[in-house]
Amino acid sequence: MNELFRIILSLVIVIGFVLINSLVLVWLERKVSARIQLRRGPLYVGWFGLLQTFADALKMLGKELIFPKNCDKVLYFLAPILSFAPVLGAFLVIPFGQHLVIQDLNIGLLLVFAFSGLSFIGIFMAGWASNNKYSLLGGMRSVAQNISYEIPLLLSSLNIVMMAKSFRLSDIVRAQAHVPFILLQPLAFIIFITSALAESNRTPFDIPEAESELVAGFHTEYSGLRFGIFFISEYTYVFISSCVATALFLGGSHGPFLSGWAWFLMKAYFVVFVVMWVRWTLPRLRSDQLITFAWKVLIPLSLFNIICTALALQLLKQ
Amino acid sequence: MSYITNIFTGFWSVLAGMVVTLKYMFRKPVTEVYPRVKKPMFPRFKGPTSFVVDEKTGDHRCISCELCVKICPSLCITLEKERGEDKKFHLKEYKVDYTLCSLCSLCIEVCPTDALTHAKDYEIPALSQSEMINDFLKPFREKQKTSQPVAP
Repeated sequence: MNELFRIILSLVIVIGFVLINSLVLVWLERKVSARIQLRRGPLYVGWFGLLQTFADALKMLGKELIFPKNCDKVLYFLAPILSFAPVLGAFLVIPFGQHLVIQDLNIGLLLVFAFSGLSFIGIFMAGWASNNKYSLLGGMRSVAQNISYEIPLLLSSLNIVMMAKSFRLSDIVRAQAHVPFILLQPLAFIIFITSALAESNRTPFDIPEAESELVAGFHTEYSGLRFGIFFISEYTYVFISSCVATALFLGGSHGPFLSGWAWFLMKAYFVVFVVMWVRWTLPRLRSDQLITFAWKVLIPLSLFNIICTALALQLLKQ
Repeated sequence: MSYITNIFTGFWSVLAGMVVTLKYMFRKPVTEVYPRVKKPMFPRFKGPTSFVVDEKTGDHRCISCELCVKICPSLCITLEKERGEDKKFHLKEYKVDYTLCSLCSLCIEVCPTDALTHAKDYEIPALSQSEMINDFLKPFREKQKTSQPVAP
């Protein structure tokens, strides 16, 4: 009974956090993009326009939910849910503080990747069910991209697992008490961030939802709250990736003076900021360049990195 | 070999681009927050015509010579005058229809007493045509009311 109560409570907290977090992230995205383009961004609703996204979300709630003609109704209905639910599951093992973990599983890292791998099924279902050529193209691209970039993502985090000798995220954070792994594994960090960008469909890897060529890709036909759920899941995915990057490379909740969760959130939001910064700097890659980059550059580099790490660990042991 | 140099030059160009955008992020935005912060107009801005307020008398300088009415190419000025007891003309009404006025400044150039000028005002839209007919004497009449109360 106690355990059930704990699970329900943490689920409520996670859902509330996800909603507020995505509102803040959308605001941050608009602010960062505005400042890079010498604009001001949202200003008037709330403090520095913080409530602007809340107003937009309210507007989105009032929109009509449309079923397009000849769409696959079951899949069309399920797709946003299927892309949103796995993201919630990934929160299960993120170590926000020393003891702030919902369930500290010993396969935590694998669980995050398993859940994130599920989310693109929802995207592909959305592309298929909309009965629209742009959406279908977007869904196909999303599958190709996610399958390609999952490999360097896993390979680059394998270095960390080798060094921390555990898949448990809290153990990995504990192993970085003195030196964060970004100093020992800079190449792995770069590969991880690049593939995380691609996994969460962000520019420069946002070909599944390219506005200028695919008219928003897989969610062209979606409206109202369903579109909003896709949006929320994308931003939460960005947040989850930066949380994992924080736990793996940036030393997680370790830091002087402040308490652990504050350090963790600061680092995670900094990574989110870097992701947005990259988005508003680089142009979108072409589809073939994207796949080439994954298979010809990222995977060989991460394999090379793994060999180097294994050699170094073996030599240091003797 | 070109494979490795390609990776390095690509990475370097990404870093260079990121530095450029970071620099732009800390620059001052160029956006004007217009309706909240109004911009003072530059000195030679040609806004709507209006009367110059004379520094000495605090009144307008118009002597009702009707030169501006005659030169106006779009016939937008209506002027009414009456002869006072001192045999001088006094201005009764001076109205400009801004739906007709083309801001050619001919009335300003022809005025012998420099009574007319371009205002710096740039927010003059109206909802109806009758609102676009501007009574030049209105501010002076209001000033007279406030400064010279009628004696009991």
